[in-house]
Amino acid sequence: MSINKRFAHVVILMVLMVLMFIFIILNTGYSYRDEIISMGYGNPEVLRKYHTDKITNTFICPTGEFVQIVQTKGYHDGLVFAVVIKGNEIADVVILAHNESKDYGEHVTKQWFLDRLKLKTDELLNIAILSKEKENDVVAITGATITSQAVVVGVNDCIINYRRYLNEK
Amino acid sequence: MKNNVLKQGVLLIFLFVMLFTACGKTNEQARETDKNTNLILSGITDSDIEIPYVDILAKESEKKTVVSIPNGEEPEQVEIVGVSLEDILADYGIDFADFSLVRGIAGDGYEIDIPAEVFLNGGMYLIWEQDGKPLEPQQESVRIAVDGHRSMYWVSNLIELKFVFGAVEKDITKSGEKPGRIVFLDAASAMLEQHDITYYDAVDSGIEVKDLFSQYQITENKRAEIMAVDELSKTEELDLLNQGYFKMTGKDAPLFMSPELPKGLHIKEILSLVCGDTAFVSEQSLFAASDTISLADVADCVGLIADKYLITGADGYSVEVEKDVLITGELIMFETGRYAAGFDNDFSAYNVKDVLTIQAMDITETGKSD
Repeated sequence: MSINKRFAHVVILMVLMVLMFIFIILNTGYSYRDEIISMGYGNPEVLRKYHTDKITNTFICPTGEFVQIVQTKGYHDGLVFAVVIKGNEIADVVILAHNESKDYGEHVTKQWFLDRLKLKTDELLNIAILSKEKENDVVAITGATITSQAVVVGVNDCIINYRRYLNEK
Repeated sequence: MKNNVLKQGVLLIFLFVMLFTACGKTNEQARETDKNTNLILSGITDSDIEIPYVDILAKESEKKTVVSIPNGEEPEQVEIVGVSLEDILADYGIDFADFSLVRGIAGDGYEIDIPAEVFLNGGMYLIWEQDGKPLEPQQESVRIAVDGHRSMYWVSNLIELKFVFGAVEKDITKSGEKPGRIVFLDAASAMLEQHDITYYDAVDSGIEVKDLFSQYQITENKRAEIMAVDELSKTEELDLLNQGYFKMTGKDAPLFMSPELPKGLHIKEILSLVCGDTAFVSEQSLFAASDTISLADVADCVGLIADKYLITGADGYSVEVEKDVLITGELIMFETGRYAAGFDNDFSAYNVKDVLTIQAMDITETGKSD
């Protein structure tokens, strides 16, 4: 095989690898967008300006929802969830990935817990351990206070970020 | 020039290969690092003993078949590979029999007390294989196995064993004293301040344990013996019980729980709690176990034996009944959720609505008389 052919093969290989790398990056970026589309909020626009160390993706949807992807640590690393805010309410919280313990933090995906987070954004949320006493109290999952706290802190980060977006809009 | 480009291309590919290989190595190294961390044995000496997991895993292992009893299910045989905790302790010159209690603590926060009667009767193992398979990653590095006992003692991802020396002080009933009274838990709870208790997806109702103990002067004793509907028997410190709640409605009620305590210390479907001369008995748990509840059986069950009893209702109304009459009595549950002591037609004058306590008036065996 001549040097020219070898050179051509190497270049093709390198181009393929770069393309594959770009494909992986783009595909990862689009997965959250796809997730938001599958949630019924239309094709969102990315707002990179509002990314923080924990809020890795922010989107504004055609229907007005402000969607933020939070990556944080519960009892274990790898707790990822989407927080959907519309107007002055948390419209939805969706757990996208987690490694929480079986029969403890794993209940974080249950709708009955996620529904507790659908509150007004006028105030930050508080974690409550036994029962709800104030409007913005979120009662922790039985036996999984740390996981519950991590979600509440993540949602509060999103509320603060959303306020910043509203101020700068 | 072309040669240089070729070299650069090959170098680039080599770097990619190295990068992927390095990623693989990193995972392996991380796994190895996890295994290099230590199991902590506390409470034995002034300072904790730390045993590297690799040392435990390197020990000569036993393979045996033991019995695990899952909650509410039939006992099942489990094949384990591991080492006896007794052997590990012997390496440090420690006698397993010196302890009254071992608390198993998992990496995810689960904790449970394993009493001596459990770990001395059957044997306790630290295992790393179960039913021919290595433990799941979240269960590593070792798991407790206790032969012939409930699976709640099988703590996975074990990070610490906390030991308590000496025999547990048997002050549950002082010097073999029998309880002098039964307090019906549901009726007693209904008379105390109710608290909303969120339990998973439900908001139930319950009381603070300290309110109950205060109402019935449970102060002198240090421990209580608790029996659950599924025959779980557990001795618990009063200090710990006083931190928590009895959730009296909804799933798993009566449930001892506290948001501050690990879930492993919660106790579901409590049937009785005996402390000093008082035996709290749950009416709803009695009816969960049987359709017909004989008052004499309830008294026998907690060791309340007398020739004469005083039965008192929540409104303060009380009647004295002879032993022979008590035998004809039953606990009756109404659709409203209230309970009464009911006697057959010959003794219907002894019926007591909202029965709260049964007190021994003249104890025939050991114990105090009224």
